[in-house]
Amino acid sequence: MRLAGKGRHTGGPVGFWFNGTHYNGIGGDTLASALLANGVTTMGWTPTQHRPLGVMTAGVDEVHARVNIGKGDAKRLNVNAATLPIYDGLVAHSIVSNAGIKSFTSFLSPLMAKAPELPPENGAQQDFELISDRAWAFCDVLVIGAGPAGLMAALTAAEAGADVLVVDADTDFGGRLLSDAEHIESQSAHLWAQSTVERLAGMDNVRMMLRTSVQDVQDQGVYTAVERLHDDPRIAHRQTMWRIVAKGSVLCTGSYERPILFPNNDRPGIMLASAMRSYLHRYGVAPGKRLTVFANNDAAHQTAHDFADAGVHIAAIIDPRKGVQAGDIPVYHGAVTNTAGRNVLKSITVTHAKGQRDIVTDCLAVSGGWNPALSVSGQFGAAPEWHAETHSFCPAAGSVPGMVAAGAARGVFDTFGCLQDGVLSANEVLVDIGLDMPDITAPSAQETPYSLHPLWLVEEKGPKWGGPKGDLSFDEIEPKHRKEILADPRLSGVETTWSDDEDVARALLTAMPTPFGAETVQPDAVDIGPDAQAPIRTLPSNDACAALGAPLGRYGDWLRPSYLPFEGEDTPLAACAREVAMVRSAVGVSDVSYQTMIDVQGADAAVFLDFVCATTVSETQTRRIHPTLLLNEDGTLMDSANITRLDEAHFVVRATTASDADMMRHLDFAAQVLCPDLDVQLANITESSARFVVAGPLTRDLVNKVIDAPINDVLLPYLGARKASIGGTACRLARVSSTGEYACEIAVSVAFGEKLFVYLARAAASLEGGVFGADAANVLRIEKGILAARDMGGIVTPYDLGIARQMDASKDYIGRARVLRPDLNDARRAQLVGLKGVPNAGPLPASGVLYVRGGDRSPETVQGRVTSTCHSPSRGREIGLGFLTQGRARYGDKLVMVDPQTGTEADVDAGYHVFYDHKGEVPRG
Amino acid sequence: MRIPCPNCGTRDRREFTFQGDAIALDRPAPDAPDALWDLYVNPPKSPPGPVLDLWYHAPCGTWAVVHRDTANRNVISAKSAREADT
Ligand SMILES: [Zn+2]
Repeated sequence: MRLAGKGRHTGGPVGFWFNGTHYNGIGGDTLASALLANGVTTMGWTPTQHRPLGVMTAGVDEVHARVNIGKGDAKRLNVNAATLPIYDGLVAHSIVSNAGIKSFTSFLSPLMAKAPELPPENGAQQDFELISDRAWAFCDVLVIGAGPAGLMAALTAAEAGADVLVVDADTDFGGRLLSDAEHIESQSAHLWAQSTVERLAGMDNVRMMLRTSVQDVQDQGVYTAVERLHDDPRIAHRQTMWRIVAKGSVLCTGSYERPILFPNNDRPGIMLASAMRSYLHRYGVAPGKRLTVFANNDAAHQTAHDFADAGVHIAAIIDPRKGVQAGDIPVYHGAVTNTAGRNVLKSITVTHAKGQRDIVTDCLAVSGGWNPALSVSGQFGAAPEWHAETHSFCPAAGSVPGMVAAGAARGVFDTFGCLQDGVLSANEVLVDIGLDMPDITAPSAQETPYSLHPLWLVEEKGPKWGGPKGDLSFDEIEPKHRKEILADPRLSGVETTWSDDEDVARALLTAMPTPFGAETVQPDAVDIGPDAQAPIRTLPSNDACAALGAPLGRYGDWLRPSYLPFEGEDTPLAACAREVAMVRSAVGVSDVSYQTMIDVQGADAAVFLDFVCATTVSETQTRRIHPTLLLNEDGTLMDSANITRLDEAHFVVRATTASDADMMRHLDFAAQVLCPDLDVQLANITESSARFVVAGPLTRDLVNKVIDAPINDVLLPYLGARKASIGGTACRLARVSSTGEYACEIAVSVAFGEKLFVYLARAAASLEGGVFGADAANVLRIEKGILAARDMGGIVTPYDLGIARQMDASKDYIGRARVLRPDLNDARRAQLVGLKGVPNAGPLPASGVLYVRGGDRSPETVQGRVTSTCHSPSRGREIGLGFLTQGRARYGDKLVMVDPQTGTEADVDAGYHVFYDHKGEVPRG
Repeated sequence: MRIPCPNCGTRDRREFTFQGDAIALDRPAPDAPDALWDLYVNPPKSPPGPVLDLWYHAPCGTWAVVHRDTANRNVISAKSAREADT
């Protein structure tokens, strides 16, 4: 609910969509503040129990209110609603809590745990969060964060004549000053911030950057920062990565308020006290009508006073400290021991000195004190120091050479202290870099002693959500996590006043973020998509496909056509089905130049490949293609590959799924580290030729239409390779198939690629065939039971796939020692199976976990996972590939697959993983 | 962090892929005891201090053995894995 006369943002009306409903907000709102203003309290759900979640914070530490934004190809995933500024046309959908997904997977076997983190393979990667630009900046003093300490540090350094760069991750400078109702000198603190920023901006030696967050500190004073330019995923250039070289820096990144854990502490309406004040003062929003405050420190009491001033009813303050008073607001000396309400908080149970009572309230402000932000200062591995007086971990002096922490980032929690610390810390840096300290003193401001009772956890039965693991309640994770935390070498130097290690562990767990701020907060601090630095690569046929109207999607780092649309086709699915049918009944052409090709030459090339591959490559005849497996040394599958022997000492490795970068690294490792004495030279030739696969029953007709001298199955048998020419231009032919069809790959020099593609497309059309895109290629491979890269990803073994017989145990090869281990050959492991949907039941979720149909559904009863699904035009039903415990012995089992992210489910039957051409005879001709 | 690639000179860490302990250079014999192989495949984490580990410089395809100190983040030296003799 918006409060009249409150709020410090001044933008005009902004319309946006959230979960399908249109709302209005004010320019300067975050998505969370705009939703609260509209009375929307539920912003996400937990993955397993589907409990509604509200926003808990007003900053980068938000784990509940996470959304996907945009639609179609222009999407950003898992964006923090508490920091996302709204813009006209914003379309947001809530997702299950980010922390929840992570913790859910940790329930499952190690095999499952890896699955969701691997990049998508069989669909265009939609998180396009690319760094679109790079820039360098140089300065004398870098000020990181522009709250009270940062602004004073910047002013001090600027007055000393230093070249100053101020960066702040927020949309405005001022830090906490934007969100509290304090005074600096005689001014409102946020107005003081505004005038100080104006003063700084007017100085020639000061540069100021908003929405810029320091990600990484390196040696020699190099800082990496990401500047967000736009939020709207429809705009291409959204982020710039800055490398900042600074002689010294002042770290003023502030602190995070920590919650207190009590039973059922994550209902919508329960929020950190500081966040509550942000919504009130900065955004002019009250999250409810009857406020309660549960806090162990004085600072949080301010929340009650501020809301009372704004006309909100304060039902009670709950404080574990004895003798605390708050004017005419009732104070209970005790703790919150339970809460009620689903979509929004309805009441809390308070256990206090005189008994227990329920208090009706729709918003509860919680504060367990403050933790300095440690993600930057911890980057060089220095252990944080325990400060007994503030009950918090603070960065140790000298954690990062050249950097001095100031203000709340160093455990100074009152405004005057922060202002003063800004001056002192800047002076320290100035002396360091040889500049004179200017004559500057901090302005007068509130000086509040930080009085805190160390209450972290309410000892009461019931699920206490939060801490570093979201959807797992505190009691469930504690023993394991405690061990992990205590084992961390970075903690070995931490001095505490705590009675024993267990108390430390408990305090750490409860505190959010933990001293390992770098791990828990850093990934959320800004949204950089996966592979942010990988350039996009285009196929030789890219322009020709685009000219044919093909939508281009990103698959790994390659841009590929998803399908080639025909007039009158209204869905991608229809286009895909047509292309699949075309390949199965006539002939299809597709650009496969993205597939990894590595050239292997040298006197010992065959010996080398025998060592790298689990099969015997050296017995392959020239101009023949040998299908093989490559393992990791731990016995898991690295990839499968087809190796062509061009002559005695010359091979080409064609990887099935691995990217060329991964395959080169793997082979280079073998050549340089494991076999430094072998005469072998490797070259990545992926981009040096254009390669097109021709697949389908009319392949021979099409190939013979275009090449100069016709071929037949004797001249070019299955798994054969030979040279040929097209209009006098040299090409190579290879009889390999990844579709289950008779197929032939034609390779030419890149310069000739686009021309050949257009030629092949025309020739195919004359045979009732045509070009097929990545969608159809994906369906063809699933029908044939061929795995994608993400299905393998270093977790499955040849045994799991039922191809252990292909390995030649009579020789040594990478992975041999481990792949023979009994636990990697255990029938109880998850094995590759095919899954069939129930006829006419609609599409299967894209991925999910498997349970026995009609059986219990708990983390302990998970039977396996589904890695890819599609509609099979050739079988006329929904199919998928997955890994099922003891799968090969369970063909015919009735299962249900559930997508943990959306909760959608579908009945499936387990079976053989090959849905098309079971015997593998078709490609032979 | 900057790492001196034996082939290209000192380059930004981002150009490198980290592999782990340089124990990888000492691959056990195929018939070595299980315990040795376990150690090789899952080497224990070394405590803060001087370490030898492997980094791949993708732009030139060189595997380097890097001698560095994880306690103070100093990179001491690097040589190509092909020539390394540890
Ligand atoms: Zn290099």
